[in-house]
Amino acid sequence: MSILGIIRRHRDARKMSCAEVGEVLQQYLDGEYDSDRAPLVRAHLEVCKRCGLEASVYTDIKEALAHQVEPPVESRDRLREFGERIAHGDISADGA
Amino acid sequence: MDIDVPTSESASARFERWVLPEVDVLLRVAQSITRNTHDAEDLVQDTMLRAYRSIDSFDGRYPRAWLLTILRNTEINRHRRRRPSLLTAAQQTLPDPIADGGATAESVVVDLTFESAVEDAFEHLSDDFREVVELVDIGGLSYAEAAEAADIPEGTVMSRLHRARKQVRTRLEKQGYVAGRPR
Repeated sequence: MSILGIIRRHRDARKMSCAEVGEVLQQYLDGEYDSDRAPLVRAHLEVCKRCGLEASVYTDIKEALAHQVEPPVESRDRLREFGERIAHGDISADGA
Repeated sequence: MDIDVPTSESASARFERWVLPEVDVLLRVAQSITRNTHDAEDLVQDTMLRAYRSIDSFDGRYPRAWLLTILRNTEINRHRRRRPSLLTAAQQTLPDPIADGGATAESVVVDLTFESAVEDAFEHLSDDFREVVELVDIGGLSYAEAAEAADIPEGTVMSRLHRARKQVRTRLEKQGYVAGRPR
């Protein structure tokens, strides 16, 4: 990144306080922060070590929550096959 | 949202378009709810059959949310039919990540310890909080889709989800898995 780019990033980072970033942090990490201030949040998280750390904690939690139930591949395969059979009329709607 | 649904489209074609791509998500959420692979498979099978029966009346909006609503209702009905049982995390078998390759024993221990702690914290959430975590973090729904699936306002989804994760975070902090919140 050029010197100008670094200066611009630090300027952007200061346009939001840590408290303001904290209020929208989870929304931002979920990709749900639909605001023109989103680039300011990104800049703040890149520059502010404390907020960056907080963001990584929530990212780890979110990922761990998603990973906690990784179903067996065989179950997925069986269910896909079951679905295909419903779609092709091999299984009636009452399951017979 | 505008959905282009040909009126002549068969139930089978609709099922293939809206239901089959969601099997993975349905299974993950079912596994989270039932904590048991066999029950999860049964639940998804019942969900798919119910979805097929009502596919003609589905308008094509938020298929994943629609399916997760059916899944939740199916699970409620299943419990009504049988004696409610206490579901514990012990019923779930963990995969063997080392055997699957790509991880060192140390990294697996660290990851599993952290993930087990998160799982334990998840178990301690209230039903309302767990529901939104299941829909968004496990099911991969947007806030709007989760609101549709749980039949609650989008703002409620957001506040419950954020408070749920904060509770998880606080629990992890007390157990020493993450550093204290910055001041």
